Amino acid sequence: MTIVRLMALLTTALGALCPVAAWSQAAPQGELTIAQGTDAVTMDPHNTTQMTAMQPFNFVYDKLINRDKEMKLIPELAESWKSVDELTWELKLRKGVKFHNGEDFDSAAVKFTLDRVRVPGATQVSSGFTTIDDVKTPDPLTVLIVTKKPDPLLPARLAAWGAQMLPPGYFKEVGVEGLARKAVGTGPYRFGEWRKDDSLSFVANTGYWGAAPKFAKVVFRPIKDELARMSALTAGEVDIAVNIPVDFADKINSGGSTYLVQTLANATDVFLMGSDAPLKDARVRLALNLAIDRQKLSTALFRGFAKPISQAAAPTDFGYNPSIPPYPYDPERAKKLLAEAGYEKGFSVEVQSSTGYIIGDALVVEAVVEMLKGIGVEAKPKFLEIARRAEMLGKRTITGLLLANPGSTTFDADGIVWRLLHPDAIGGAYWPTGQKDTDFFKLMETARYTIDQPKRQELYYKAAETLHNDPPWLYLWQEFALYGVSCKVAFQARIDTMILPWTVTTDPAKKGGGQCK
Amino acid sequence: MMAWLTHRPLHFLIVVWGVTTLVFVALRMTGDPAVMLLPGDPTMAEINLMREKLGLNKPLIEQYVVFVGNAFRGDFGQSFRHGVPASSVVLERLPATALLAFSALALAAVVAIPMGILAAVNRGRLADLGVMLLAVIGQGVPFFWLGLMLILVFGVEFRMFPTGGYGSIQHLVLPSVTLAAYIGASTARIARSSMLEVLGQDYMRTARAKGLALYVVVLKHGLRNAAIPLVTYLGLQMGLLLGGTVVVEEIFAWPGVGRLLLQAISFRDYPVVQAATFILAMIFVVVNLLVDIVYTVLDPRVRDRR
Repeated sequence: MTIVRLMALLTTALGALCPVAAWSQAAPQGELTIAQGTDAVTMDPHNTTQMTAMQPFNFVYDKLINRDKEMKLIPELAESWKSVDELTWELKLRKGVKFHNGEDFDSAAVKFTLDRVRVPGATQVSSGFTTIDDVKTPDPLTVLIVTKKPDPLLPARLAAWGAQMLPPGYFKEVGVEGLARKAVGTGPYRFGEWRKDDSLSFVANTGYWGAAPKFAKVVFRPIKDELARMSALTAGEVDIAVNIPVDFADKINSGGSTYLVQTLANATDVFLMGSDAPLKDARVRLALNLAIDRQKLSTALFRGFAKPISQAAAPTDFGYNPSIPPYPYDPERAKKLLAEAGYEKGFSVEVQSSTGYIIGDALVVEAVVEMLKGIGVEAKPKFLEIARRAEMLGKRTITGLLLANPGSTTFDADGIVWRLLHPDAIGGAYWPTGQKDTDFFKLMETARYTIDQPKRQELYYKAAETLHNDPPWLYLWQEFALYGVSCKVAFQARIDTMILPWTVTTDPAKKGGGQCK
Repeated sequence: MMAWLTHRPLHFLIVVWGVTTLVFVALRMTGDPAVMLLPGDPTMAEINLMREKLGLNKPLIEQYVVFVGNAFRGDFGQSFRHGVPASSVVLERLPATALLAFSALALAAVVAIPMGILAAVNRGRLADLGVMLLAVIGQGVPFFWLGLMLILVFGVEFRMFPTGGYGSIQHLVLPSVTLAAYIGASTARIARSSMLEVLGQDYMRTARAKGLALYVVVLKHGLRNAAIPLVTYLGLQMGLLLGGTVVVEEIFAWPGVGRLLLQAISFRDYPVVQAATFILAMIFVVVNLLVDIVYTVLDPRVRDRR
């Protein structure tokens, strides 16, 4: 009880999870059903990068650190953290937390978890944790994390994908296969029943250390077809349906029993530029960026549910430079730039994407092809099977333009600049300006290993200027996420598109914004 | 007869081997699962580590030998995505697909065959026209569209059945009707034409001349003979049926093998695709064997010739 109340006070003080704290005494009741496109493939949080698995993980697992709705880091299983020297971070753990199987959560569990994910190649999430050199446990509630080089993003990594804490005893007992079948965490819900590809359910964990869970049961249902997912929502079979196509937005708001919830998402849509000779010229790359009327496409294709961008990082990332203006739609100047680069007669280029994996992908390709033709570029649409596309990305054999939707899971420009524009990376292999020993290369390396936040920000502002004037990609827009929600529940969408236990309530005051009868 | 029964399994083994080998090679020619498994922005080093972990860095022929060796022991390897044995991933979903396929097949047979007979007996009359019109519509309408319409009408509008999911008789109705419509339309036509052919035979006229009632003649003498091409046809529908379940499972969120296979293919989860195609090929082959056996029971001439 005291722990719960203490937590309530703490969270209120932080101003982060405030609505939850006030009701933390109420007993969980009712059922919440969430429909996503596909079922989770595994309960092992470290061996998948699937978004539809991440959502259930949020209910059953906790991380050391989480994010509030502004994406600021907040304590979860770690009560506090600080950088004690350039290479060492110290974390203080929450006391008295138990895993669902009764095991204690302590520094040994943290060490076990981090030692598992930081081995390169051992899990699917290890790329996020390879900066860790050692994890020390001076006492059960203190963890020291030593990094190989200074790592300003370490706390962000502990809040990102793959940072869910696991019980070492359980893992030892059931092994990796057992974990894949059944989740044991410290989260507000316990693993219930999993009927593969039909329903995955969790039940309230009444002994939860934090705010008590709202619902007695939470069920995830995979419904792939968009119309079928909408229908299940309309028929009252599900409470939240994710990835609602923009064309259904009005319908959801007009029925009286459901409403639309929207948020900007941390994914940006861009065309990566491949190895074609004309694309090596900065003037050509800039010309392509000036040839696209982003505002018009956003309205025509997405009814405005797409926010034009003109730099690589999303507006919600740390290091996004707000003083950079949007690109004007200026086909005349684009033609002039092409002529200066020696392509007054244009050149031919393939505009490629898969279909059905990025919002409106086929429509975007068709529209961009037409706009590029407008400046004399002989653009041709080409559609790729998803595995073919992945192979192009993986083997760095991109030619022409390829639609992608990168996003930084650390909500930091580093996730774009370093991870994607490094000469070895997917988006940087073809960009002359960022190759080894260039100024930009030095800048991104320096930024990556700088602990001082203001200094880091300054470096990323500078990077953003380069990325605007000498664009490595054809930028389009930041995506929106749309949810259909039943009038029975209130739901607050987040920019990381995560549905967290405390973002869904039955609070009548917060439902629907007038759409509910 | 015995020689025939022992030869057939050998043929079938060759079919199954051919299918799995084809799938093995085709999968590896068309995409790299390592890239699909890693987060959106893997480095080359990470990709190579993942390929090593999955055993994809070995020469193709070595992978194949290992695969065949293990497959003989029923081991298709760990699923890349699910982290558990691929065969269990498939077998867990098999009952749902089997239930859907058989109820659709049964529904199609129970409804379509009597309709076909009715049409044949009333050839050229209103009943015939009605049945044939229905059959043509049934064959012409895309069945994924039919499924969505059934959801909208009976799931959303009248709320008589759930819009999707699994677990009760109510859940089964809309998907099996959709799938039954898909195969039922052609079944009705085959039933009609084979019955028509039989109706023109001399022994039918003789039976009628003996003074037997029409329904006795049609059901006893006619159906027995018309059933031979029908059974063959329904057996061959198995392939169509398994293909149809992929689409129907997707629309009705039915937790079956078809939906699993579709996802496993797009993510290049080799072990799951291989296990699923192996099991589906086995089913196909066994059903064909059963059809052959039923055929000999129905038609003594076939049996004696062998």
